[in-house]
Amino acid sequence: MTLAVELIAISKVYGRKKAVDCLSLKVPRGSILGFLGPNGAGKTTTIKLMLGLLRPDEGEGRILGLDMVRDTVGVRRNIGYVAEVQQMYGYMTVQELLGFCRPFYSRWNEKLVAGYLDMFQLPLGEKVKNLSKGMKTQLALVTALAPDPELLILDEPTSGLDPLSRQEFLRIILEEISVQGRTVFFSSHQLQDVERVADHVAIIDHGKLLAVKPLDELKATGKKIRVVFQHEPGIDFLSWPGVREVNRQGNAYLLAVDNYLPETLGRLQEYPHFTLEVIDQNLEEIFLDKIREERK
Amino acid sequence: MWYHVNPHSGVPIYVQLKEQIRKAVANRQLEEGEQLPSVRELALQLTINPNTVARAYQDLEREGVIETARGLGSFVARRRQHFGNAQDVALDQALENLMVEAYQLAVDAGILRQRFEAKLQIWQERLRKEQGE
Repeated sequence: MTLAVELIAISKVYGRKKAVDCLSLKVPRGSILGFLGPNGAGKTTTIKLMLGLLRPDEGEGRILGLDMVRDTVGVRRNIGYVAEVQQMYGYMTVQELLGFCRPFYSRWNEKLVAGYLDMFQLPLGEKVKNLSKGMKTQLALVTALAPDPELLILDEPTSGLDPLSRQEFLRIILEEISVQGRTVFFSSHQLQDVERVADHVAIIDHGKLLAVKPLDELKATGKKIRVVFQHEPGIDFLSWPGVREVNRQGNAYLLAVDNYLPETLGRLQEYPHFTLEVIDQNLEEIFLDKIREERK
Repeated sequence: MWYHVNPHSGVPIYVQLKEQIRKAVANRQLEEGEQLPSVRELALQLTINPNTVARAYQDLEREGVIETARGLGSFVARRRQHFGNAQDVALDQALENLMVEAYQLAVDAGILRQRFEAKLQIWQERLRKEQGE
């Protein structure tokens, strides 16, 4: 498995605050990674470190096999980046902005640009500052995709887009990825977007990585079991392997189970009960669980 | 065939897709030899990750539900007479689920047997009719 991104124990400190705290992360090529975390978790700082816009205080990283700190130019050449807040030159027209970006790259896919300009119906003569938020995002995506990047980094790309533009945006990402085998690194609060398109998910809070896993695996392992016993069984469930958390209301128990789900169910069957069921957890529930646990 | 998935469910998307295709094959919405959409087509149609579709297809292929001819695409496989290990495991799991459901619904063994027979008969008749056509 070749890696598009490999971060090894990187840290970034602002004053007394550790924005990124000994974070290690691997992203395989050809995958779409959803990078999740609450506001201020360190997502944007991590991205800026990857782009070489900030230098890590500790740790190192390789982006597309290139040293993240020493070879920022090489890294930037192969990355497409859509920022959370679109910092584009507002006084330029769409046409001027594209002409401005172009000389920075050795590759610039004119056909792709023309295709997307046509598809989005972006007004070439209009000043960037007069575009709607959705159009600005579309324009940023066009400039990010134009150099045929091997890695696309998107920081909250779909926030502020209406459902239709969001769907269109995601479809373009998928199209570009499935054809070219590119990698996408995608930070977002829109968990339903991540659930749709990501195959890997990383969750961070307070600059620390809480989990990184294939999304399917995350969903397959993060289950809850609800069981209502006929009488109090008097067991310490936390001593069972795989049981992470126990909530109790009288004879009703809610067990959070990370591993050994069939074994745990089998053991529970042996105690007289009224109900015994497995509750599937969607990404939002898994996400909130992880954050709550970390902050306890 | 109308595919749909609910990404916001706790059930992984590839599992949803697999179940849907298996069901469609079982009730002849998808016929033997019929071509499935390509991984890319289906991923774009549903706005989901192509790797997810690929994973569902790989599983279905291993289970003998579909066949993939390189360069040509994926097709609904001919139904096999012999039971492989994968089918055996899958059948056992399905029966296990049935038993658990029956237990939870407090259905006794007699009724369960009766209903099982009746359902089996309906399916066999349906299959006979289609093969006669």
